[in-house]
Amino acid sequence: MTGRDKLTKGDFNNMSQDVQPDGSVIITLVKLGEDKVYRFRVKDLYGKQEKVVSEEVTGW
Amino acid sequence: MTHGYPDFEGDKSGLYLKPEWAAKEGINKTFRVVQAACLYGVGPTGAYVVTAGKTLYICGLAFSVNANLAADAELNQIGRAYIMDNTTGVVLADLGGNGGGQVVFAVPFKVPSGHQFLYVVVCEANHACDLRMVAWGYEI
Repeated sequence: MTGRDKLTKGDFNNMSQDVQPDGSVIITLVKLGEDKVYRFRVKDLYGKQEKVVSEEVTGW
Repeated sequence: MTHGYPDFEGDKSGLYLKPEWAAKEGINKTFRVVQAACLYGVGPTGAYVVTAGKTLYICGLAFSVNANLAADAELNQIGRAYIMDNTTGVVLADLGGNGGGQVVFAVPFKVPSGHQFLYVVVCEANHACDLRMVAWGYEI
């Protein structure tokens, strides 16, 4: 499952959005009890031009 | 149950406020947004579309405003934060303050399934500020 999928499904407890100078957003999702951190960078979140620029899944 | 009171023995049952219960059940949600060096009238916006078939309840928010440069650290750090249902355009709550602020809602704000929840913090100081905001609640 990608980070974007987890966002769509609401499958997280903590979401952090770090707005970047270029307008893109780095989103970090964490779910309690799950030893993974989903982090992805997206442009135009929820917009018509939405595009995930980069993505990574790391350990807690 | 005896004498009309619930049986709390053996941890079989208990009473929780809804936010506490949500955390216990793992359905709590915390939304944080951050942006550095925001000038007057500018600030980060966080967005979340409520999961299909669920309802989001927002129980509180907090924000902080800090000078981006050390030279501005002793000035007023004025900011404003608000949350809204962007699908209906209804602003649910506003909060302003010098350096930040926080509020816990006595009655949680409800954002229906499929609606876009926005949480925004805006710099209203006359210098560049680093802005942070957290809104919390639960989705069920």
